[in-house]
Amino acid sequence: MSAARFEAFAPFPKVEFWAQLEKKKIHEMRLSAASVPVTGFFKAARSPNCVEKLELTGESFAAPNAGAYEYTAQGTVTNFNTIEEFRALDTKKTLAGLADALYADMESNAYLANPRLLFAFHVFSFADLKAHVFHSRAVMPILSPPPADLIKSSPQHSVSAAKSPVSPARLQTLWNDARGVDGPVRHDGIFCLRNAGGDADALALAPLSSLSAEEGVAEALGEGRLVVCVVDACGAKTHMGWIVRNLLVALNMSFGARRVTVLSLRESSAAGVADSVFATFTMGANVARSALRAVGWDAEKPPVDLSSSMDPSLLAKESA
Amino acid sequence: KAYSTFVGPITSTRFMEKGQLTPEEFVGAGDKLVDKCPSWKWCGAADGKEGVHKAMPKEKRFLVMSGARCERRAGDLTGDMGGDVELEGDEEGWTCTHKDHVASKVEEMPSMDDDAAAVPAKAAEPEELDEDDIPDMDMDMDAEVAVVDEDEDPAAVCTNTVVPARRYDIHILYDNYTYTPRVYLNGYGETGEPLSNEAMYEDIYSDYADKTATIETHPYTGASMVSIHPCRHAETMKRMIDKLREAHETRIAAEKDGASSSEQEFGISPDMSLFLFLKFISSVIPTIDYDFTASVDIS
Repeated sequence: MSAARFEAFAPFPKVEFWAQLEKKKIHEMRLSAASVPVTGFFKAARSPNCVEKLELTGESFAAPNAGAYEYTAQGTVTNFNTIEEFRALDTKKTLAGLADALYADMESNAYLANPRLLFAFHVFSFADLKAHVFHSRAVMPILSPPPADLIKSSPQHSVSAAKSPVSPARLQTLWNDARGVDGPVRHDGIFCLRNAGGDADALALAPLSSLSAEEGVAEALGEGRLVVCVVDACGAKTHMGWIVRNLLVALNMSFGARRVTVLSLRESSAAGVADSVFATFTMGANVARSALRAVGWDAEKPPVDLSSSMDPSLLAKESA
Repeated sequence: KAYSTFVGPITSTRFMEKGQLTPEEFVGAGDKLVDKCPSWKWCGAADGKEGVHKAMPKEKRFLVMSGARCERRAGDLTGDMGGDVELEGDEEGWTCTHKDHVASKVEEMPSMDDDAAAVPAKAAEPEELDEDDIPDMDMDMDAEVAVVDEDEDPAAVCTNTVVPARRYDIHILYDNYTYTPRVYLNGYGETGEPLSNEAMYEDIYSDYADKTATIETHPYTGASMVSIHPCRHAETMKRMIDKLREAHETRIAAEKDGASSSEQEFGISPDMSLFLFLKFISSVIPTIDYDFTASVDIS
C-alpha cells in the first residue's frame, strides 16, 4: 500500500462553448453575474496513459445530449461583467463555499441518488465581447483527508487478473445491459458491482442509490462483496482519476467504509471494457469535516483569443 | 440559397447516379457512422432553433467527432506522396492523396500484471470496405496540460506520457445546396489553445487550402470554423462509387472463372456514404487521424 494519487480532471471549454456564452451574454444573461448550469461531457479512457478531457461544448448550455459512449458532469459557469471583478475572485473563499456545499451533499447522502454531485465543476469567466477574448478559471472541488489519514492504494490490476472481482467477459455483459438507454446506471458515472454468491451469475451492477437502503455496507466493501465502479477518464496504469477521491471520502462519511475496492472502468470501441482496472483503497480513520481540506483549482490558463476567427458579418448581424 | 429555397430538398435517392444524398439518407448514414464508430455523435442546434435543416430531426442536425489527433503538418508530407491517385474524369478534380497513408499508431493496453514495457504499436491494416467488418475508432488522448498545483495537493497527478499533438473537432453537416455532407473543422494546439485560421490551414493539403477550404460560420454553434467547400463532393463520391463497382464486378468475374463463386452483392449503399465520404476527405486533411474505419481501394 502506498499513498494514493489521482489524475486531475478539469473542464476544457471549447470554441463553441465560448461562442454560445457570447450569444447568451448578449441576449439572455446581459448584466447578470449569476451562476448558470452547464453540462460537461467526457468519455471513459480509451487507451493507456491517456486522459480524456471534460469538454464544454456548444451543447453545454442546452439539455445534455450525450453520445453513446459519453458521460456527463454537472457544473456552473459564472460570467463576470468586468475583468476587475474576474481578477478579484477570492479563490479561497469561493472554494470554501463550494466545499461546504459538497460536504452537505455527502452528509445528506444526496450523492447516492445523484453521483454526479461528487464531480461537479465550476467555471468563472470574463467574456470580453469587444475583443472576443475569454478569461476563465475552473475548479472541481475535492475534499482531501489530512495527511495522517491519507488514502492509500494497492497496486492496480487488470480485470483480466486472476484475483479480479469480475472477468472482462462478464463485466462486458453486465455493462452492455446496464448502460442501455433505460439501463440503471446510464450516465451516472458511479455505480456498484455486487457479488451475492460465489459464481459469475451472482454478479450484478446496481445504481449507487441502492446502498442507501442497505446495512453492513462497510463490511461488504471491506470484504469485496461490494465493489464500487467508476467510469474513469484516466487511463493510467498506475493510478485512477479525480472522481474516485470524493467517492472514497463520501463512502467513509456515509458508511464508515475504510477499505474499498474500486473498479476503474475504461472503455474503447476495440477492446470494450477489457482494459478496466481495479485497486483497493484504505483510509486511516473516519474523517471529520474539520479535518478535510478543500483543493481542486485548475492552474490558471492564458485567455482564449478568438478575435482572429470571429466572423464579421455574423457579428454585425448579431449586434444590430 | 434562393436556388435551394426554390427547388427544396431532394426527396428521391440519387446516390448511385449522382453521389448525392437526401436528408433522410444523410441521417441514415449518420446513424450508421455513430453505430459503428462511437467516437462520432449526433448534435442538435445549441439553442434548440430549427436552423437550416428542417427536414432532419432536431436532435440530429450534425455529426461531431472531437479530439482527432494531428501530429504532423500537411506540408511535412511533401516527398511522401507516392500514394497519390488522380481520380478520373476531370483534370481539376479531386486527387486522392496518401492512398497508402495509414492512421497513426495506437498503443495497445498492456496487462497491468505484466512487467513488460509498452507493447509495440499496431498499425491499422488497410482492408476492403465491408459493412460488417469496420474496425471502430480508438484514439488516445493526451493530458499535456497541468491542471493543478501538485505542491499544494500531493495526491494530484498530471500525466504527461503521451506525445503532445494538435487536436481537431470534426463536424459533418448536410449541405442543402449540393445535397452532400460538408465538413467543418476546429483545431486546438498542443497545450489546448484554439488554433488560428492560418494554423489550421497548415493541416490542409496545400492543393485544397487555396481552392476549397474557407472560413465559415457554423450554422448551429455560431463558431467560425474551417470548412471544405462541397461543390465537388457529389461528383467525387460518384467516381468513388463507380471505382468500387468496377472493382466489385472484376472480382465477381474472376471468381466465376475460378472454382469459387460467392456472388456477393455490391455493398455500397447510401447508409455507407459517410464512410466513403470520410475516406476522400482524408485526402484533404491527410494528417488528421480520424479515419480508423476502413480503407477503400480506389486505385
